[in-house]
Amino acid sequence: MAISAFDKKLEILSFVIFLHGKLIRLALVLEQMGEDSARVREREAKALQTIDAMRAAMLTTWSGNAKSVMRDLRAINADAQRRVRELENTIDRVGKLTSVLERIDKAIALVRNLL
Amino acid sequence: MSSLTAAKTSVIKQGVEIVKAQGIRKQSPAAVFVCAFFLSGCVATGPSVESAPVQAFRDSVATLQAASETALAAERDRAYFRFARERGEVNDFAALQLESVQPMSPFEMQQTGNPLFRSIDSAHESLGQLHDLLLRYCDALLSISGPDGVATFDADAEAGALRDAAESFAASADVSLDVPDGVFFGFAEIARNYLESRRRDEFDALINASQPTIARVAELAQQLVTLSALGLQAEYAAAYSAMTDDVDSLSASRRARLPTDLLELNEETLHQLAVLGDLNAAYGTLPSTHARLATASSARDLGLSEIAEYLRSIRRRYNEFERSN
Repeated sequence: MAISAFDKKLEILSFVIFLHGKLIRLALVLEQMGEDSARVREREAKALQTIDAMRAAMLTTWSGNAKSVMRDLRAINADAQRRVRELENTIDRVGKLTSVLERIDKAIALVRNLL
Repeated sequence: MSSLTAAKTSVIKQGVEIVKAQGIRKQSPAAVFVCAFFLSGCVATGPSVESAPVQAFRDSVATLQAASETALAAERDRAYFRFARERGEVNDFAALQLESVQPMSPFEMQQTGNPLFRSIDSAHESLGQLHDLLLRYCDALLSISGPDGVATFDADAEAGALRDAAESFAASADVSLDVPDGVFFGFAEIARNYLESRRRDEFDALINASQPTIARVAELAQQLVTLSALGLQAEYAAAYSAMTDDVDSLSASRRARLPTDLLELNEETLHQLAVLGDLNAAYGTLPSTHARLATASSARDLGLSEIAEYLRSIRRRYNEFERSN
């Protein structure tokens, strides 16, 4: 199966999250060594901002995709309801068979009148 | 030849013989009605649609919906509390104010800046709507399936009416109608199978037409669950960073508690990720389970054990996590 654009974005997001984790670790290691971690912390904050922006954009795209599938589901449900109605009409057809019986009775009555 | 087919042939034969016996012209109304009626009973037969598998499928969808609402809330809650913490850290209380919506919308207010947790809420709402539509679809399938579906009628009564009419017709023509009860009551079976056959056709057509959309729903749900898992990882990293940043400024008691707090954060995160993994796998089984509805005659035929195991696993994980906390 071809990887969708959304799945590619998931992979990219996953990588940025991985990178963000590495930046946090690097900052902690530098701080343990008594070094200045400010520049790493700065990049860590930027990575988190990027992650948040990607998540927000992907959630919006996802909702858009969901709405298109909702249209399909509504069409399916409309089709299902139509089929249910047709089956209800099937009952009417059985009712028509009953009316055929009644007409047979009438025909018999007509034939009897001819005898 | 099956007994049912034999019964149908016999019914038709009897009808023709009755017409011949009466010497009624082909154009006479009685002959037309009699033939029309007997031939109406000559319809395709087939297996009925059992409602048990459909009900089991519907139950699985409903359980998945409940499980997803709980599992996806983990990411949302963390994003919510991070947003509150971050705004508090920079004294940005303006970002926490709700504003009126223009043009006038008395029952709505909105948060400035559209925080991430609101986007998560919106996506969850969309997933809920997808589930609702899916359940409505299942209800339609239930309407068509089973003995209590919409297409029920009193076939025995119809058969009785037929026999009465035929006997009346024979009596009126002063002929002996030597037709065993079984032939006429056989009509009941034919007619019932006719309706069941119609249901099977309608049911299979619905399953086949819906399959690509059901597959797409499952794919979408899996995408959202995966996005939620990655979101949870991001929230974990943000929480971990906040807890370990500037450790030197922490009080002695807070610093002493920090390793335990971090381990608890780890445990909670691993538990929530495992639940999302099970949920993702459960959604993955949805398309094949749906496809099997077309041939399943019992809930067992659906192969629900896989999805049931994932759902049980989710419940077990929650129970274990609650016990450990």
